[in-house]
Amino acid sequence: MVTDVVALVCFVGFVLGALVFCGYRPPSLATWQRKSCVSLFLLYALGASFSAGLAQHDIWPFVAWPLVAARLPASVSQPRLVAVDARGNEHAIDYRAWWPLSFDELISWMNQDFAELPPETQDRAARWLVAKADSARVSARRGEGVGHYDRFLGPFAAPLFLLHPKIWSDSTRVPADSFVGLKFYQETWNLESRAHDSTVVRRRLVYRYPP
Amino acid sequence: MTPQRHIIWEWWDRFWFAPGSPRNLAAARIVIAVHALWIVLSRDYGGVSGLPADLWSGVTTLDKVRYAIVPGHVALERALVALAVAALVAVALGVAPRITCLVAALLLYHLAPLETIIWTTSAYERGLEISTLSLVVLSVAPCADVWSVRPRASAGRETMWEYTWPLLLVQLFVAQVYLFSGWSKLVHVGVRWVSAENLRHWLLLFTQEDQIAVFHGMGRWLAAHPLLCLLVAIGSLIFDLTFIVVVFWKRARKLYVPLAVAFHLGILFTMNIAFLNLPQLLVFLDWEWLSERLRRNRRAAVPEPVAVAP
Repeated sequence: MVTDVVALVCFVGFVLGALVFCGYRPPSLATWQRKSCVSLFLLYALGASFSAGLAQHDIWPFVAWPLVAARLPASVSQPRLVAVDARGNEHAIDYRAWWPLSFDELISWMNQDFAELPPETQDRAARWLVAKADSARVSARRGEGVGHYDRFLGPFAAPLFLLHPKIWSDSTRVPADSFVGLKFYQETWNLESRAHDSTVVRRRLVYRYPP
Repeated sequence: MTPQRHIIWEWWDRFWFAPGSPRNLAAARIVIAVHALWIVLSRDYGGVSGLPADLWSGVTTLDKVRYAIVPGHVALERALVALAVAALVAVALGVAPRITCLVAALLLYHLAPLETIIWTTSAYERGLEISTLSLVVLSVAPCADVWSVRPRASAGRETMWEYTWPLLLVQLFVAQVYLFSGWSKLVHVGVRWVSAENLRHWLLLFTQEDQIAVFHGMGRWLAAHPLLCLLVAIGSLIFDLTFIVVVFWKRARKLYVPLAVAFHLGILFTMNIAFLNLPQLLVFLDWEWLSERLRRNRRAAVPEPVAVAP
């Protein structure tokens, strides 16, 4: 809450500072006076951006940029969302199926917020996700593409921050059976062990729909 | 008698208010606008507004107030996206930059967080943070005096210092990515971040996780060479922490900017991470020098008229 308020105040101050100190340039102001006004704005901009960065506290759009800023243990855990067909078979889902939601945001939401929701809300959200994934599956089977990331810029569209394989680009690899359910797993593995054997992954079921 | 100015103020004045180039500032305007267009046209911020209410359940009222977001208004958000696109095109063309830059900045401030809002209010790494800040700066700068649909006839004559500080501030926002990225490693982990084992683990994670891994070969190859991992870790941290010199020392750009491009391409192919702000490194190019050189080459290519004897 405090971060929200501070961040909003910082950005509003940044915009107002720009307009007040740099935007209005009456000809009567001497050059040194204009430079002094601009300097006040520069000090503000430096203060806000360096505060976010040095304190490592995001007040977007002033950002702390903690890129790969962790010491990764040998044992890691990653979430996985799979679709389930009527026969109970599990299928990987193309990351573009969640459009306009990006895969990374959905997985982060599932990891962070989903468990806190009441069961009936979880099931309602899961039902929507199953319908979304199945609709993308149907579209991919027809060769109509998945999601609409490329709707304006085609192959030049901006990728997501993390790349993801386009597993349904080949329509013959798209599941033929409708999706009727969803499973959310936490997968754990040892990085060193998996470097030698790709099967050493332990799965823990976190949630399933239908229950 | 003129009072003696403090040495810091002298330096400040020389740094921020040295005579600058209208072309370099105009190029920054175009780079920022085109880059933001690239991101906006590759996403559907309006569509996120229409996600079911259950997915919005973790978003607090304050989060929504902060970005003026009201979920469930797909048509309105799509109209705002269209307005943002129009404003960014106008910025790129240099049409009414004082208004269009500010409108674009405010719209990006509202739209960009929609991408992540269901779980975080910080839309960092999504490509629009530097654009949002830079457009505010450009809205109060003479950034369309050249390379615009209506260039100013007197461009660059009387107030050359006004071309310098906005460009430097935009460049600083870009350089801060590296500085803070290096700083964050020291704050969150310390110098222990620099180890062959740590980098190897990161490489293995991003190449073993099949939901992420598009490129496998280079990352695994690098992970198999501990000494190289250590050298890359040391080099990355030094590079991150020292990139900021490009803001103060123009000569350093010739080394650091190509290195940054190679750095991000390396990260893309070994870790499957696409740094979306990469094109913004173009704000460090000396466009004044480049355009002069092109003009000279063009002039040299035009054959001299041959005098014909009567």
